[in-house]
Amino acid sequence: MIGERKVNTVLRLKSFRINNGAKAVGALLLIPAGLLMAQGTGQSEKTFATTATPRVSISNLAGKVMVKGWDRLQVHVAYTIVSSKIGVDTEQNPAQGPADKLHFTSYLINRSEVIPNPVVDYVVQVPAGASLDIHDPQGTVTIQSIKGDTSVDSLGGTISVADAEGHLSIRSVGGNIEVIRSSGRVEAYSINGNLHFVSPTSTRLRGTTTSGTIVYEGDFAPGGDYILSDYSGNITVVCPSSASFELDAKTVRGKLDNQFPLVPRGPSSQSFHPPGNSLFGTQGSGQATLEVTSFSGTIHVRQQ
Amino acid sequence: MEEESQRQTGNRGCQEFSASLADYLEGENNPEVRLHAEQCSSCGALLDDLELIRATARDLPLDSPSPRVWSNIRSALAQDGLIRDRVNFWQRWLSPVSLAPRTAPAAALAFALMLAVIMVFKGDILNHGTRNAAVTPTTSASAHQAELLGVQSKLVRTVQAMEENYKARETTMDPSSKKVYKAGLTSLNNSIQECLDSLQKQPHNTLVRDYLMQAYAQKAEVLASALEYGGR
Repeated sequence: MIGERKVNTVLRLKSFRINNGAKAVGALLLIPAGLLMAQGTGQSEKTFATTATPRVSISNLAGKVMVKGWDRLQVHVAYTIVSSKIGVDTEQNPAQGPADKLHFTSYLINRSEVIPNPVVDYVVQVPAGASLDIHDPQGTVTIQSIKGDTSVDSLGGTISVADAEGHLSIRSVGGNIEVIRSSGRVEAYSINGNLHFVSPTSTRLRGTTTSGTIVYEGDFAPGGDYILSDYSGNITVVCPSSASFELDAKTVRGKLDNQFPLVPRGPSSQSFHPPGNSLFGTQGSGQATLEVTSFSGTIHVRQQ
Repeated sequence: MEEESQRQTGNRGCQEFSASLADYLEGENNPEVRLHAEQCSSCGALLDDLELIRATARDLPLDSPSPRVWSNIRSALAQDGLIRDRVNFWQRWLSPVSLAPRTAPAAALAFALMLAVIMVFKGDILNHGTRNAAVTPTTSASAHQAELLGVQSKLVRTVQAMEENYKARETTMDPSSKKVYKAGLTSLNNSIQECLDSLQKQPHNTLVRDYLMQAYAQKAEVLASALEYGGR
């Protein structure tokens, strides 16, 4: 009974979404809201007055998306459409006054038609306090200097985020992910892509990939919690010799390569681990927790 | 003009279908819904999907757990920092306030998977919370194996349903997207097979079990994404 009720709830939710295009998202969701549509090739630019912390979302089909934080209470968007068969919707909420939500959607004008390269390139400046939600299946996503929460999902494009201060959630199937100088919580997931973390000051960071590699370059914040998990790729952690962390490294079929003079200790849980495939130890005063696992890849923990 | 008129008539039919769908699936006798589904391929596919989901969901173990169970699940997830993950992820598929256009099959199938995962992990989470250090891997071996088999039957069934749906739509997908999805699914299928092989040799290895569960969950996510976005 519970299941049926939940499924029915899904069906009811779904009934809002059954539509044939991006424009019919549902009046409930857009009142009051402004809706602009643009079609045709070429570049378009728009500027919107916003609050200090607007939520900006971009739903693209393919192409580059570049978003940068700035100190104005405005969103400026410039997009280039390469095909006359693609349109861009802009939704603003509220319709009048400083926008609290802005949504840009690239869509196929004829949804049943397959366009080989439905590229729309976006260059967007947003208030630094903005939150972002970006969906760009095929194309690179570059984000810089955003203080709000950021969510990015992609299929095959590279995602690069620098100087993000909010919660960062990144998902990709085949694309590489690069996170530079993050200070908020980070979650990065890919299946075939590589993950690269550079100089993070985040206290919570999780990186997971299946067949890509993971490289972590930087120190660990005191009290920080870092989880790096790979399946068949290698994991390389490069940190200063002064780093302070408790290491919990495990692999099923891979190898362990550690350059730190760890003080050994027992595993942090009662889980079964075959001998020789795990390494538990403390470096310095063990202020951060570093959990690294790989099924068949090699785990390197190296000094800078 | 005639084409435009037909398109508008079709849209009206789809809207009426949409408005009547939930009641129809709850048992209301409305032949118009079935009629429209037979005439409109996208609505027909949707209705087929939802009926499949309902049938799949009916097969899931849905005994209502005690409040203590839910409390333990919540605590364990919160401790692992997973609650926000789950909410964010599922919100993406299910949130009615999403401004982006979505499709139902992926969302509802993913929802069915979520139910399966919760029911599957229930035992693990409870065990984790009350784990008795005196219990050795040897004494719990059969329990672990039985649990593992249970995990497979429930999860595999749900993922299989998604995979069948995916394969049915694969030909209509954008080629470049399909290539990426295929590569991802191949990696995950390899992972799943390797984990299953390893578990034959090391049935108590919790790390392998974790990898297996993770691979299934990731496969479900990839399939859900493919069903939602694959054809754009």
